[in-house]
Amino acid sequence: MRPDLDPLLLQRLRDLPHGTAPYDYSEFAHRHARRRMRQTQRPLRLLAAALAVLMAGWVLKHGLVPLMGEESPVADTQMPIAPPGPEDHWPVLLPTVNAERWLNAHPRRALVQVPAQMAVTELEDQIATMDDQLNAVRLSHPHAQQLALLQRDRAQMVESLAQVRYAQNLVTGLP
Amino acid sequence: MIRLNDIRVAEGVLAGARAGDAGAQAQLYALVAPGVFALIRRIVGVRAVAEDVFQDTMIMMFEQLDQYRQEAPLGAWASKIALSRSLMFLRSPWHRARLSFGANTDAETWLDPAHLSQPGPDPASFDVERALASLTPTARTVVWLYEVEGWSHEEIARSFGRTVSFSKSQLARAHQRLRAWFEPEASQTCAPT
Repeated sequence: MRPDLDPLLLQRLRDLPHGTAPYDYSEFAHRHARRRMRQTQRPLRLLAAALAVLMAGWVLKHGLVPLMGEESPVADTQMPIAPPGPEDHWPVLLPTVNAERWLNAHPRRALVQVPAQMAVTELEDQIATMDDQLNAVRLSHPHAQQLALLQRDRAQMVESLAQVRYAQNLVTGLP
Repeated sequence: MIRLNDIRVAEGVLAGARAGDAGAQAQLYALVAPGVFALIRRIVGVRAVAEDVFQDTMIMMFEQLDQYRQEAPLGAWASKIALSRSLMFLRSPWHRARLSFGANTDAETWLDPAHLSQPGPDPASFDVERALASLTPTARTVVWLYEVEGWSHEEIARSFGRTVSFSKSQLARAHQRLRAWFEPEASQTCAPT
């Protein structure tokens, strides 16, 4: 077996150009900052999503009556006294006192499952928006660079979507 | 082409970058980024993925700059980070699942003109790119590190967490395949029966 490559081929291999970095330092710094911000905000977003799902689940199960209903002395006393005119609408007052009382009456810890479908839907929406932008750019300003940037972003979103779907497959495949 | 192993950085620039000076970091980035991206792109193949790995690599490089002892050129140190991040990607279950889902092969994505080294490459380098794309990612990485970046078999083996004979056999098989690509008739006559 001949161990080495033809010197000419070797030289051509070594002469292959490096090309350029995909973006310059300012873009790198910008992306880095954006990623750090996303990472620091992630726990807050998860918490907010968990709270929203918890609230929505509770409302679906029990309805709005316990929240808005009989035990709302503060909210009731703050209601306007004059009856609404035929075209007026009652203002929607949030019974915060009752909501706080309700929250305090429940255990602090809760296990909440957020379906991955939410992420899939979100990503699909973003890809659709990106497609609209791509069409608009193609029609109005066919600059190759801007087009290439949008196409790259879209490709990344599609990769992310595939990752989430793969995770979904894994989860549904679990016993 | 400048090899990553030959990229050195002035002491002042390094000190500035370590202190968080944006100008010094930009200089350092401009020095290292093209070579690092070329290495990653040749290992992972798909450009969109290569950009993600590149971003991770550069972030890690700046974050770990204090740990750089200047025992080797900066480019060599950066290439080790790039290789480790790229191998992490290639070994990830996600990448293996992606291949099993029938994603584009390396050759398809690599040969997209947008993914080549330069717009309008000359036919010779295009041919070499095609030949490289026909190798497996591991074989391609070993060829690139050994033949272009000048790594030793020991260094390659250490980075892969394998033995020296792994590196040598990968290189020998890659050579065989590249020869077959460029000299198909000769390789048929030399092929063992």
